[in-house]
Amino acid sequence: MLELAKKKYPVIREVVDRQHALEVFESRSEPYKVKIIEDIPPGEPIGLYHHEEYVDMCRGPHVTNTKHLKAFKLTKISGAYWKGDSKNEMLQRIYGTAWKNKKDLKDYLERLKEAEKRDHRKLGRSLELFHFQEEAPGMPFWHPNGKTIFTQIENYLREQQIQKGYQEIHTPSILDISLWKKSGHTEKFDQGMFKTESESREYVVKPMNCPGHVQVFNQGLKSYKDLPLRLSEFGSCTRDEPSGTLHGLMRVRSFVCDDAHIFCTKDQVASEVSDFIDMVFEIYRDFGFKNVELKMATRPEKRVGNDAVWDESESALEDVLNNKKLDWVKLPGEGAFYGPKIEFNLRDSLNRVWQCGTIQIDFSMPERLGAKYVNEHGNRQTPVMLHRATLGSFERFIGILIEHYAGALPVWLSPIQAVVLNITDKQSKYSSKVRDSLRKSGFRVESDLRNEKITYKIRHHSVRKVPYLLVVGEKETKKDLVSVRARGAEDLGVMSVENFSSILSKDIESKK
Amino acid sequence: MPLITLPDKTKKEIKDPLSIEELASELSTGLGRSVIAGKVNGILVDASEKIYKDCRVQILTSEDARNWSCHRRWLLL
Repeated sequence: MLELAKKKYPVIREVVDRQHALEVFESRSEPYKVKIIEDIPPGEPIGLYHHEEYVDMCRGPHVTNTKHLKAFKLTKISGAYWKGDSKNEMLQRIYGTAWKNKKDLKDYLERLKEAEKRDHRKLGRSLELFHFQEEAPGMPFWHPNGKTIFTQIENYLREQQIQKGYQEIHTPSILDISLWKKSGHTEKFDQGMFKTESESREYVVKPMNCPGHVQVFNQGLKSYKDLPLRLSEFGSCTRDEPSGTLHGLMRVRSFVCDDAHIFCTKDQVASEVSDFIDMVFEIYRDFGFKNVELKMATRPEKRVGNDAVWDESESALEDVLNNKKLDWVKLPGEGAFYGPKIEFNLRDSLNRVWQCGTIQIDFSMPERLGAKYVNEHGNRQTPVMLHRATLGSFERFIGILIEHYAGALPVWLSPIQAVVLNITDKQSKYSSKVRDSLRKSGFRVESDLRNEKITYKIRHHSVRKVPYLLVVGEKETKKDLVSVRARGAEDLGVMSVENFSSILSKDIESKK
Repeated sequence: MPLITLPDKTKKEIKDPLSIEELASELSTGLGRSVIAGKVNGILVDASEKIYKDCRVQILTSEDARNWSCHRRWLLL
């Protein structure tokens, strides 16, 4: 590799047709590439990369010269079955990374090491939050600890939404395909939908909640006085993502979306969008994310609705962003098929960017699904629909939280907030009493009464990243006290259960 | 002569055809040395890709690679 980088030879791309590519690799006796070409649909151009005497085949892009590869490291060698099937031959795969200079390479490797330590899939196992298994690709099984985090987030968001005038609903998981045809999803999103049938009717497992929410809006005649109507749902969605793109909680097939749809008049769009932006910033701050970047995605090639409507909605979003004096970036062509959107990206502790929240203007779907309200003049009019989510997918957001905090979640989100540890059997009754009294106050507390050395028990629960450990010995039992150790081996001393309760309450309230 | 739009919204008329690499060198010698790939209308392409018509162009260097960790597409054929 060093020699090749030193040579600074050019890597030349050549686009060829299938026949030519087949001839090249047959003459070079490279049967695997021949097999890959046979699977590529005819007519699709194939990219060859010439490395001196060697020919590679790839979609690219590749650097144009090996001079870019001077600062590199080969990171891993692993066996890989041909096409990922253990019945096939084993091939060898070599992984490596290359950077502009040695410093950048070193930085990257350090970040990689840090990211590995924080990998939510690893922490998900060790903290007993969730698991995946072969029979449910991309669909997590939430264990009690993980489900607790899930519920805390849901309760918090519900409270936020109630304060901001949202009303919660719940809609069916499968709906007749005719509705998805009307909404435009079968046309624009067909690849992403799981379908099922019963009694010769075809159904779609909902990939999103919007058509269901319009059905709720459509019940009973709405007046302009009912608008804006904000309907929210913690809606389970299922999408048929290609199995190769699945990645832990970050890219899943089934997820819960903190979804809501705001039905409003055109005049209300700006203030609704503006309020929502404030709400997102507040929520992200509460979860400990201070760096939020805004992007606005405009009309894609595959879309519904005429250009005048797109002009109007794109400029509405731009105006809100500019009036709030926010920094934002335009993403041309990346809007939803029904309307432009604002995307909220947050930066985590490793400075990685994650797209989470979104608000999207939709003039099309309410019309397609027959939503109407009676305006001030007594005429029927189609409302505007704003699709919005603050976290996006709960699964993905929890994955981000786990990696951001390296598993040591803030107290208000921690599945277990404190564990009571007895030193000897004599304090087991008192330990249980402390645990029960804290539970009664609404805290998530466990006790560890195992007949193990106290140092062992402390280590065990520190690895589980429990925020507080309450050690109880003879002295504490006699005086009705607990000895408190905070996460990170900080000794807070001996105190009454009431005093410890108020520490916990303060942490929870301040979202610490 | 194709009209290209750079990420900072500046527009530039270029000789036809010009590769991303050549464009980077024209903009600055430093950029010409560090360009590793490009984006044309949002699609990732080789630095050797030639531009024939009006489009949006982004020149990518290893600085951009720092932000790629979340959406890599390596090992794709």
